[in-house]
Formats: sequence, structure tokens, C-alpha cells
Amino acid sequence: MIAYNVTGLDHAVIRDQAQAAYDRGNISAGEFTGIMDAFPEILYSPNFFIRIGLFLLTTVIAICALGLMALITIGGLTESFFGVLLLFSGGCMYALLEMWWIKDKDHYRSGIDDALTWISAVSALTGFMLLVNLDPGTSFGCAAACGIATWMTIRFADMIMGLVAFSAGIAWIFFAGFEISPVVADFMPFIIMAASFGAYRWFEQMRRKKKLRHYENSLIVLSTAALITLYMAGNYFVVREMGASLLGKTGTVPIGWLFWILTFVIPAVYIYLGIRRKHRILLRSGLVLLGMIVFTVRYYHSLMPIESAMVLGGVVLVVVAWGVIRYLKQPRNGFTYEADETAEEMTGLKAAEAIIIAQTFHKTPQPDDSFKFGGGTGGGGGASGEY
Amino acid sequence: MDQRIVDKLSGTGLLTQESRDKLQQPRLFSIHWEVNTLLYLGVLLLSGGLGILVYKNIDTIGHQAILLLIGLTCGLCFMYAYKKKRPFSRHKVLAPNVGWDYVVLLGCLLFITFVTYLQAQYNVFGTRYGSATFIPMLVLLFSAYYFDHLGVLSLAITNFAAWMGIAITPYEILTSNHFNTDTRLIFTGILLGVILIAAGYLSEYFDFKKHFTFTYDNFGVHILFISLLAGMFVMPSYFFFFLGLLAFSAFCYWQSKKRRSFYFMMITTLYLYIALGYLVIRMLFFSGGSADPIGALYLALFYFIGSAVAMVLFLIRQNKKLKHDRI
Repeated sequence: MIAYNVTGLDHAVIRDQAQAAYDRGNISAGEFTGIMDAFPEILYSPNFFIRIGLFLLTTVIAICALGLMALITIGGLTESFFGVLLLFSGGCMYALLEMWWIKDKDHYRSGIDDALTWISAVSALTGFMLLVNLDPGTSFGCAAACGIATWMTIRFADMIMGLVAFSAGIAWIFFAGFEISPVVADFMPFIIMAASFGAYRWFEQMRRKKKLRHYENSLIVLSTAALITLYMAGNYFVVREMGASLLGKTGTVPIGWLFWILTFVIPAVYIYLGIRRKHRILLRSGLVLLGMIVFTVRYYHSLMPIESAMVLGGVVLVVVAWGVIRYLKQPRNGFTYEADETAEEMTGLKAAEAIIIAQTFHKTPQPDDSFKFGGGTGGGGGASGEY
Repeated sequence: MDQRIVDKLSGTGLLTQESRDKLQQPRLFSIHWEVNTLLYLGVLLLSGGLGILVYKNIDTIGHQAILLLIGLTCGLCFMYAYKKKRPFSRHKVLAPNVGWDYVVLLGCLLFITFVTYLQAQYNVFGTRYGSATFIPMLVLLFSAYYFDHLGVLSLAITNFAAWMGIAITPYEILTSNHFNTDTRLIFTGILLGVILIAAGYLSEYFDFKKHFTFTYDNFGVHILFISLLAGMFVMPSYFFFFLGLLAFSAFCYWQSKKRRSFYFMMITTLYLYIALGYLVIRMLFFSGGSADPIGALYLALFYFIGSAVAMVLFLIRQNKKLKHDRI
């Protein structure tokens, strides 16, 4: 199970939530200090920016140490020897992470433990692949990546590592299906959809278990990923282009109507269920996938030139958003437009939003310039800091 | 607060009944960020689409109608923004309602499209260099202060940088500036950085729109550090640039301690680390020390490990200090 000190994790969560409740004026100062005294800080978790700095510096140290080891042994440097070297250094770093930084120093999300998690996982996987001499594209490579990433997720509850584990697992099913027989490959969309659906149900079940409370954030990410792969497996564009590039099947897809229906219906279902059940993961996944519907339709049927589509889409989005804001002037049915964040958190988010605005809008269209629509890099206007 | 935690805390007597009731009120489900993202994307699509529409139809009769549409929409946006806005103050002014921020943004963006078009088609602002970017910049800057809008301020800053001939947005700052072929850019960048940091400093000093300080500083610090590093990499008198960087790092260190900013502490440390690392590499490999390249490589690796460890210890210490100061 999780490598970190469990009491420390519980204390950290309670302290965070007490701070939030205090900032919102839900508990008094006396209660707040009482809670802070009763649940002291056990784990070392520095500020977010310090964490980034420590992450980068630890990566530098690890890479230089690896370079030093390679330099010392430069005489016998064959591929398999390098594989052993990577496995060895990955093992060393893993041991350092577990025995020293986590068990001894109680580091938790300090940047150092994050960096060591990733570096030991990557070097172990690379070393292993070099030793067994396999293409990472084959199902075996995916299985190996999935195994290592799953272990790392269980030990360290890293969100992105969980995402890697899930993606590698889906890729493993995908490639294994192709290797078994072409008949299985024909049913691949349905296999992936079934696997994703099962995974989603499973993740949501685990999210409710008290024993797995420290994995909450990882499970949120995993649920979202499962919803996305569930949609992608049934999306007309994905099915058609995957079939063309992997099986050489060009032209229209058999039972294409079914995939067209899935392309349109699944995001609508997500949004509907998200609103019905007040389920943020479903709602956000549905909203993001609306973009995929537009893309899929436009790829095969050019209904109007891009600029008219942009203007029309922009008007629709603004009108819908404006309508929702009007509708929710008073909170209704348990929904509100008011932000959950405190004023201090909002200041930081506004500064981040300003940078995104500068990045996405800095180019005005110019004549005689093949203006490329480069939006979407910033994605959401500050959808972070929510969970 | 989680139900589990509320139960646990009130079980040990750390919560009064009153707080418990407050925490157990059903929380409203906020869709603030979802709606804001939709609005933001809408503004992005609308301003981009209208911009392309004008240029694609530039030779047809339709383009004047489109231009009229842009002008009208822009005017409507500014009128709405003006009518609804709260009175001007030198301090932070909150937006009167939720969609207002995006109306101001759309108005400003459409204005830029409008001006750029007028300049391209009719050469309204003459051919003197830069006037076509300078005038929108002034309007953006004025709007940023008048409507108290951070997003418009950062657009004004990027436009100001573009007018000086340098790219400053997070992605383009490294990809579009060719410091090695155009060394003048280094000095432009340094000048721009100094201007922006001065603007940030003055905002704070005179308490005039103090909350704009971070945006000025953020752009200014990055462009100044990157220009100084570029100077070290490509100019023959690299040591002067290093001294400049050292002095500026000291300034940033002092400022970030004063403002208790973890962010500026982190970036100052990393830029300084890069500069020092470059200096060591240069001395080991290029300044005649290349008699024993393998030995130099060993030294370099040891240096990087040792110095990174030192930086790690430094950051951990600073984290403790800044946190302690805050409480």
C-alpha cells in the first residue's frame, strides 16, 4: 500500500481542510488553532513553486549521477550492459526514495520524492527494455510499462503515474488484441469501450472506500481518463483512422452509423448525468468532448468555412454561457455560479488567467499571412485548483 | 470539509455544535470555472473568426459590412463596459458582474483587429514604423487601467514588447527570439525588462493599481534573466553579462524575501544556477582547459551534482524561512 506515513497524510488533509474552512469563515480562530495543535504537521511538503525547483534540481542530480556511472564504465559499454546499469541505478534511486526520503525524512510531494519516483520508474523501464530487446510498441512493452507504473501509483499515489498506468493498460489490450487475431481487432472498439466502462465503474467504487482515501486524487484522474477512452473508442474519426492506419481498411466504416451515434450521444449523456448527479468529472469530460464532436464532423463534412464556423461557434458559446450566468443569478437546484475559491486563491488564479490570455490572444490576424488558428493551447481559463 | 473529517473532529471535541452545523450545510455545486471556460473559448473563437473573415473577404463588397459589424460589436462592448463599470479608483476595483470581464476583453480584441485592418487597407496611421502597433498598445494600456483588467494589461505588455521588436509570451520567449543572430535583441530585452520591473516597482511604491505589480514583474523578470543569459552565451564580453545577472539575482532575492514570494525565489535560483553552470562549463572546456577532456567531463559532472545539492539545501532553507515569516 501507500509508502507515506498514513497518520501524516491524514493530518495533512485535515490541516488543509481546516485552513479552507477557516478562510471561508466556517470555523472560529480558536477552533482552527485547536485543530492545528491536535494534528501537527508530520510530513514535509514545501510550497508548490519550491517543489518545482526541487524537482528540476533532483532530476539534474540523478542524470549527472547516471552520466558519471556511464563515464566510469565507458570501456564495456554495450547495449545490455547499459541496460543493467539503468536497472541498477533505477533500483538505487528507488531504494533512496523509499528508505531515505520517505521513511526517514518524511518528504511528501516535496519535488524530491516526485522526481525520484519518475526517474526510477523511467530508468527501470528503459533498462528492462534494453535487456529484453523489445519494441515498446508491442503488447509486452505496454504490459511492462503498465506493471511498473501501477506499482509506482500504488506506492506513491502519483496522479500522472496513474494516468500512465491506465494508458499503458489500454494500449496493452489494444496491441494484444491485434496480435491474437484480426477478428479480435475488428471488435476492438467494443472491447476498449467495455474495458473503459468497467474501469470507470471500478474507480468510482474505490473512490468511496475509506481505506483508499489517500488515492482520491489519483482515482479522480483515472475516472476521467476512463471516460475519455470510453468515448474515443467509439468516436467515428478514431475508429476510421485507426482502422485505416493499422488494418489498412480505407473508406467508410462498417456499421458507421453506430459510431456516428456514439460520437454524438456519449458527450450528451456525460453532460446530462453530470448535471443530474452533480458529478464534476462527468460534466467536465462531457464539455471537453463536445470539442471532439465538432472536430469529427468538420473533418468529414465541411459545412462551412472555418472562419464562419468560428464566429458561429463563438456566438453560441458566449450566448450559452451568458444564459447560464443569467439563470444562476440566484442559486437554483443546488447549482451556483459563485466560485468556491476564497479571495486570496482567486488573486493567484486571475494572475494565471492573465498569462493564458496573453499567450492565446497575442496574435491578431494579419493580411497576407497564413494565419493559423492556434488557440486551445491554454485550454481552460484556469480550470486548475479545483479539487 | 469532508463528512468523515467533520465527524472525527467533533468526536474529539474540536468543533462546536455551531461550526458543525455550518460545515454540514449542503454545499452548492459551483460551475464557475466551467462557464468561464466556455465564455473564454467563445471570445477566443469570435475574435479570431471575425479577424480571419475580414481578410478573406478583403476584395469583395462584403468586407466593409464585416468591418462595420466588427466596429459595431466593439463599440457595443465598450459601451456596455463603460455603463456597467464601477467608478475608477487607484486601488483594486472588482468587476460589476460576472460576464463583464469578458466583454471588456472582447472589446479590446476586436479593437485591435479593427485598427490593424484600417492600417493594412487604408494606411490610416501613416507608414512610420511601429505606429500600427503603438496605438493599439496605448488603447490596451488605457483600458487595462481604466477597467482594471489584468488580462488586458498582459495583452498591453505583450504588444509593447512586440512594438520594441521582441516576443515575450511564455511560449514565444524562447522560440521566436533569435538572440544569436540578432544581438540587438539582447539589449532590447534588457531595456524592456528594466522598464517592466520599474513599472511594477512604481505601481507598488505609489500604491497605484498595486495588484498589477505581479504581472509587470513576472514578464519583466523572465525577459531580463533570459536576455542576460543570452548575452552570456553569445556575446564576447560574457563576464559583464554575468555580473549583471548576479546583481539582478541579488535584487530579486531581496525583493522575493520582502514580498515573501516563493515563485520569484524559485525562478531566481534556477536562472542563477543555469548562469553558474554555464560559466563553469565555459571555463572547463573552452578557456584553454581542454587538455584533458575526460577529466574536465568528470569535473563538470561532479560540479553539477554538488551545486545542485547545494541549491536543494538552499531552497529547502528558504522555504522554511519564507513560511516562517508568513506565520
